[in-house]
Amino acid sequence: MSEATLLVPASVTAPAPRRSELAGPWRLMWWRFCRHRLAVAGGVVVLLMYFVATFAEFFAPFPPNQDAARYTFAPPQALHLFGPGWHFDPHVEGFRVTIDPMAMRRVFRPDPTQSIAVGLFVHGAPYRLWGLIPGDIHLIGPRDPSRPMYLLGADRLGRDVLSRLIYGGRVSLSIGLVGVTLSLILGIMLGGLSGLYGGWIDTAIQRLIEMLRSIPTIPLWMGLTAAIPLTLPPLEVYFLITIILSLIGWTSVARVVRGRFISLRTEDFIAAARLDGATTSGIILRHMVPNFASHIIATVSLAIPGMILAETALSFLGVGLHPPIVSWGVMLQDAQNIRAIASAQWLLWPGATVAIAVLAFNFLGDGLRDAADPYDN
Amino acid sequence: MSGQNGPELLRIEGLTKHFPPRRGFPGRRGSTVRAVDGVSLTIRQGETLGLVGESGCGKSTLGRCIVRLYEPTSGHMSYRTAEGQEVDLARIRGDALTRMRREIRMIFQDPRSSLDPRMSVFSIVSEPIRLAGERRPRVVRERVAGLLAQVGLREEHMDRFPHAFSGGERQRIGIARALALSPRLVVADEAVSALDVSVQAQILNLLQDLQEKFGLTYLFVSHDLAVIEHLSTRVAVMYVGRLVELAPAAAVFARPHHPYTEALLSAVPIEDPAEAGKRARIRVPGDVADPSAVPSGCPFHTRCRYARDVCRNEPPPLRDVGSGHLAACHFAEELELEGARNT
Amino acid sequence: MTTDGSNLLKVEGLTVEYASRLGTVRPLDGVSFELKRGHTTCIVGESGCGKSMTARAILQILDPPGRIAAGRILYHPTRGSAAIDIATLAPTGRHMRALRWGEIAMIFQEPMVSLSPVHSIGNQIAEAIRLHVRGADPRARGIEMLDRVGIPDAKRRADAYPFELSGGMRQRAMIAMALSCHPKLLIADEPTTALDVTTQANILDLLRTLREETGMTLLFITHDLGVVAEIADEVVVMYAGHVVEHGTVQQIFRAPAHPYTCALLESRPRRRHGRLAAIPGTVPAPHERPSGCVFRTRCGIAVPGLCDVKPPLPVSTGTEEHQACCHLAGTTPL
Repeated sequence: MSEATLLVPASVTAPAPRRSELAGPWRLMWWRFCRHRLAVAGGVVVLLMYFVATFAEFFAPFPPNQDAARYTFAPPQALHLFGPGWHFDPHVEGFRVTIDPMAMRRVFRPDPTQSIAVGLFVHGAPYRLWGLIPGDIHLIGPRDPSRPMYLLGADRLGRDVLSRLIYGGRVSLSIGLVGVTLSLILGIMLGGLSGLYGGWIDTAIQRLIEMLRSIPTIPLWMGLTAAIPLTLPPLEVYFLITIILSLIGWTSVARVVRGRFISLRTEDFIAAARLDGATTSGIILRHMVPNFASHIIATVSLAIPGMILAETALSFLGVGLHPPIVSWGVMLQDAQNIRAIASAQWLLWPGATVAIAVLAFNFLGDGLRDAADPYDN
Repeated sequence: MSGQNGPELLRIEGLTKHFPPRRGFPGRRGSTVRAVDGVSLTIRQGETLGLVGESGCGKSTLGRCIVRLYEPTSGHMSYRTAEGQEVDLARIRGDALTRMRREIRMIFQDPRSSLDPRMSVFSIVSEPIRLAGERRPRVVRERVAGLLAQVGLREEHMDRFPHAFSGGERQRIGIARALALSPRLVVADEAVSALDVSVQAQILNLLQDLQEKFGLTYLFVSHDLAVIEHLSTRVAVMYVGRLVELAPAAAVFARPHHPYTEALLSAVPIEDPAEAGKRARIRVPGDVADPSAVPSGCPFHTRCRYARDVCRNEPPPLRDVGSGHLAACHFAEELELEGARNT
Repeated sequence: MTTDGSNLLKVEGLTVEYASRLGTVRPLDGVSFELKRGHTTCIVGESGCGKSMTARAILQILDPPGRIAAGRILYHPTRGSAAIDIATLAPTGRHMRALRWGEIAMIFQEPMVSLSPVHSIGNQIAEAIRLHVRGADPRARGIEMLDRVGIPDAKRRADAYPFELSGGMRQRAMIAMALSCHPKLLIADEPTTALDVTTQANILDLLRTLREETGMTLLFITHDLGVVAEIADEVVVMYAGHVVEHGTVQQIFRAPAHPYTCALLESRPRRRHGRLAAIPGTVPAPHERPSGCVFRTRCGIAVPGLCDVKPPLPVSTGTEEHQACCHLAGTTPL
């Protein structure tokens, strides 16, 4: 058997590092996420919705509460791009209104002789963007703002459903965000305490979570929202509803955080940090938080649709937000009768937007959750 | 091997670590786990003390008690600092403990979990330096670069993340982190056990080189007898929380004085097919004793082929059985035990 | 030791591959070796060499998307019988299911993970017996096997669950399960790696005894050269998906012909102090294997222009049964 020691091979030259070797964990997560087409699509839809909701005043053709007694329950008007003779002339057709003597209600028929010109970036009703910046440009609208343009129909007061959908989106989507932020803060604090210290703190918090989760949510929320005085201004009602929704929402975040803390607590690198001289808060901030941040992001993006659905459900039942606030749930209240389903189906559009938003968030959240695990090669 | 007669660096007396029983676990009545049960030993400056034993023997727990990752239940650990003071590692807290943690460092077993996956190599290795008070960015960067060079890594590796490295390279990063503050005593807790054979050899060479260069003292915890023999000046053998033998490495491997050591040496497979067939292995019945249900008297008596009545009743003390060789067996002097089977 | 020197299993050019973002990856590339009837053959190698995957390929339990892309696995149930090419059998088909456990059985490294935690071990053994052995009382046979592998009080222990047993006991239970249908070939995938050294010694003794009593063939996969020296008759050395050397255990340990085998033997601490002859570098990842000879980037005697051009073919050194895949085998003394 040979006693010779091996020489260092001359061919040991380091190969150029691959992209994935130089990348940090966040970039790796981003690449993994981008491979999920459905998740990326969901993300795009979510971003689009929030963008439109942020600039609602610009995107909506009309103010949400502008009513028109002549056009109650007017059907949607089709948008024609070409006028007679095939020249580019976007317009909608006006209505010929007749009254049905038997049912005592208006019947709308499109009248080709009335051509209402539609344009982009038209001057319309003035607004103040976010209550601050004045303006009057709308993305799309009738050139003559006094003419009707109901791309998605009108509701029982003649208000444009499309505009209300956009403004309603602002409220419904933002409640999701604000509610989840509150849940996040509560959840991280309590979940962190629970996971870090264990013992009776852990037991107490976990039993509290279980108790809260065992209460049926809709009756609980109904009870709590019933306590809100009707005379309270809309903004305060909005925040109270958000707080009520977060009262249950924090529990799922807390559980995830606790789980991660417990699994991280026993990792060697946490022990090494203690030996390096790190304080407990230093360990939490520098080592634990970055290691569960990705899981939290995934949990949060899956919690937002829950909030949106909760607000929609409460407002639909009449115990959440109420007019003059516009949200998708409030709009659905108007659809709570046979007439909506039978003859004014466009009133159900808010249901579709809720479904699209929730689906998009779910795809996004699934993709984030799959991308979050750092040890998945 | 050098360091055999250096001054005492750490004297451990009667160290005990008991874990309380787990309540409410189905199938287990829950008794105290006596992970470390009254261990006394000394580590001399400059030596490598190999701590060997099988699962449940408490060697890892002992290492972690020394660095105070676990709080000892009782006992003293008298450590002589660089200034010559004697401090009891088991008692110190606060700033004193933080200062001691710069002199006594640890290398962990699992290269996957001993480095924070979200931090760059630079952050990982510089953390002890920063926490010790050095904030100047250039100085920190130079020191990290120097440490990485010592362990065989290059400067450009500083900005990469642990997932880009192999197991052996991650262990090197862990070693660089352990050396960051010029320690005197390094506890290597199964530092090479999770590595492939060829990489183990690289890391063992590295550890030896670093010991020579920086005058380090090692407490090398492992279950691999061949590695222990290669690296150690003296060897301590543990069984269910007790120290059963402590002597210079050559003596332990040539002629042990405790039946458990003999059994252990006999069980190690010999890497030579011609020798493997020659001598019969000593068969030890049963499995390793459970530290939550330690047998009475001598903990090894249930599996020992030399056991007699006294072994069941009285726990044997660890005593000198000749020329500094310590063994905890009633019949240590009388038994003629076989050493390791290698040539 | 009853042996008639014929081959029980012959693996020829076995290649396992799967498609990944980084291209086609071949964890196994052209692996060839033979298992002699009644002998113990050890496959030895480090992590990533493909030894576990070879075992799984033989039993057709590869994890998807891995699949056998090329090669044959010729199985001769009895001496002189016609060969069955296992690689052509459908993994979930009737033939393969009959082969699996009935004729070829496997024990794994982590018994806690490979035994079902919600069934008693007696139950699990009985299930295997019921599927493969006709006319036997599954429970009685199971208890008999547990007794044979040295589990004390087998009748009572048969109702125990895996978590109630120690590591050594679980491994014995796993061996009992594997042998309950009297297979002709037992594949042991690192069965003692997770065990204490004294327990390992007992399990190795058990396997040796059982093999002698039943005359079965044992394929033992490990990374521990000591274990190889203790129990192997033949040795197959693997590196990065290739077989680099194979021969009898004496040939491999006395006169290794491949630089990797040599380096592996040199790098273990063996009662000599001083520096170990470590192999520089690390095992290449499956998608980053060097061209030509897969070991050349870490080899001390690689010749540019020869070793980086084409992969080496097996070369006999000395006897027919000792072969090494090295361009320089037999020419340069190692």
